[in-house]
Formats: sequence, structure tokens, C-alpha cells
Amino acid sequence: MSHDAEFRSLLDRIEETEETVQDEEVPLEEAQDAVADTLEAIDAFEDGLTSD
Amino acid sequence: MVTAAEIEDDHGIPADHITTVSSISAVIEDRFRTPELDAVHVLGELSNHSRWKGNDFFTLKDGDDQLSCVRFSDGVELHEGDEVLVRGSIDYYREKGRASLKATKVIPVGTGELYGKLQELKQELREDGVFDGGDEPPKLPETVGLVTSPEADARSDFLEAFRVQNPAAEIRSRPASVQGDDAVEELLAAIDDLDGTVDTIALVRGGGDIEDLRAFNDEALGRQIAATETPVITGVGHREDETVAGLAADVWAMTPTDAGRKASTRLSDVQDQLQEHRQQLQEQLAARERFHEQQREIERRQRRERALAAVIIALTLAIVAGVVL
Repeated sequence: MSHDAEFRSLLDRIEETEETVQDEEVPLEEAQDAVADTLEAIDAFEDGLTSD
Repeated sequence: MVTAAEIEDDHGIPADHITTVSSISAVIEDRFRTPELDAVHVLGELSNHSRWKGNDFFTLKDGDDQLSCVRFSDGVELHEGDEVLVRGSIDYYREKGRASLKATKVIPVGTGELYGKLQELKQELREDGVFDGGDEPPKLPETVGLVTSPEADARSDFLEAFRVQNPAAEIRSRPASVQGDDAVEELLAAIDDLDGTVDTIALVRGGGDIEDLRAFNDEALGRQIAATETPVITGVGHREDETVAGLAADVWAMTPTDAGRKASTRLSDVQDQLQEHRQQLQEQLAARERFHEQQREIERRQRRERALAAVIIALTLAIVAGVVL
């Protein structure tokens, strides 16, 4: 996947995670896991961006 | 400084045959002071026009001949390619060692031949859809193909600007002449070589007059740029140069430096944006955790209150039962 496509996908994922965190119906543990996974994805994307 | 007498001694050239730059410049300057070169009207095609500190500098062309011109006064707006009649006098500038036509008036009289042909070609290509544009180049390219002359300032200007934007992307350079008889063929070959193998092709060249930029106004080059699978960015000449290559490209940049800036989003901006998202996610999660903790506290308090109420009721009932008994 190109960096552009990865970036768009990451922004979508960030938006979904924000919705998950704000949704009171979603258990807190699930929201915490979603945020941790997304932060990890942001780190991985940044690493890939600068290590070419 | 070596004297003429010493040169005569060392090299055998008579001292009275030796002159200096200032002496010969004075002779040339004097020769230029003739009625033939004063108050002349010269007809030619205007090219290589630039403005500096309110003065106009340009070249008048006629076939292979050209004449440097300068206009210190305001007057009609000058356009590249116009056929003009220039009134003025020829001056010899000793400091620069060259003659120039000092214009007192410039009268546009028509469109120059080269310029006219170029306008006709642009119209034809426009009608054929060559200038309709194509795919947007990626904002975060991983590989960029750079087509230009290896020695050109344009190359270093592009790279310097691009590296500020994106220090990580790979640059694949394909050298090509950007002027002269072989230029079109080499540019076509370089673009063909890179097409489909990189994310973006950048085609750059420094400024020049209509003649210098001839290769970038070539029909075959325009058509090839429009047909490439890979998006093309051009930065050819100065901001006012509208070449066929620039019109056919997916992105037109004013200069090679501008092309370097437009070839990639600045990575540090992307990193800043991601950092903001990180912070927002963490803040939103912290707010959610505080809310969750408050809810639990309310529930605990409600349980305590219910338990207390039950005890009070039980005690009340016990007291009431004792009284009755």
C-alpha cells in the first residue's frame, strides 16, 4: 500500500477510534484497547514514513 | 603590475603595440558615438524579458542576431514574443564590456513569428485534450523521478526544496539535455524510462527565453507528458513561463524550487498532525475514564445509601415491633 493510501486508512481508523471512545455503550476496556492499538498504528506509520 | 617594457623584453612584442583594457574600452566607446547608432529605430522580436528595480531588460531578436536592450523609463507593458519597434541609442557599457540598446520608447507592432507558432500549437494541443490534466500526484511519494540536466542549478534547487519537504523519499535521477538539438529526444527517453517505475516524475529547468525553452514547447513532449501513467510535475523557467510541457503536466510549478515544494507534503506537517491526533485520543480516553470513575462512584454512593436506608428501615421496624409488643 502506498504512503498516501496508508495515511488515508490511518485517518479513518483514528476517526473510528474517537467514535468508539465517545460511545458510552462500548465498554471502557474495549475503548482502551482500541486507543492502544491505534496509537501503535500511528507509531508504525511514522516509522515507515521516515525509514524509506 | 608588469610593464609594457618588460613584456617587450621578455616576449619581443613592441611596447607601443601593447594597450590596456581601459584604453581599448575608451576607443570602442568612442566608436559607438556616431549618428548611425544614435536615435535609431530597431525592429525585432522581444524575448528574455525581466524587470529589476523598475527597469526592463530584454533581448531583441531577428533570426540568429540579437541585441541586448534596457528601458529605464516606464512605458507599455512588455510581453515575451511581441514584435516591437524600439527607439533609442546604442551605448557601450565599459564596465560590462558590451553594447546595449538604451530604449526611450517601445512600440508593440505585432506578434513575433516564434510566439505566433507557439500559440497555434498550444491551441491545437488544447483542442486535443492534451492540457486536460490527469491524476493528482501522491502527497507522500516514496520514489520521485527527476529529469533535468545533471549540472543545472535547477536540479539542486529542486532537491534542496524537496528534501525540506520529504527527506525520506528516494530520488531517481535521469539526466537529459534541457536545451539544444538533442534535448527533446533525451527528455522523451528519460520520461519513458521512469514512467510506471516511480510515484511522481519531476521535470525541471531554469529560466530562459522562448528559444532556450524550445524543447519544453515541443509537441511530442507535451503529448508524452499527457499520456504518462505516472503523474508529472513541471517546474520550467520562471513564474511567467507558460510552456507546452507545463500545460500538459498534472501539476504546474512556477520554478524548480516550487516543483520541489509541490512534489511532496512536508513530512514534519504530517508528524505534527499525527501528534495532535495522538493527544486528542489520549485526552478523549482520559475523559472517558474520568466519566467511568464518576459513574462508579455514584453507584457506590447509591449502594451505600440504599444499605443505610435498609438498616434504618429495619431498626425502625424493630422499634415499632417492640412498642407494639
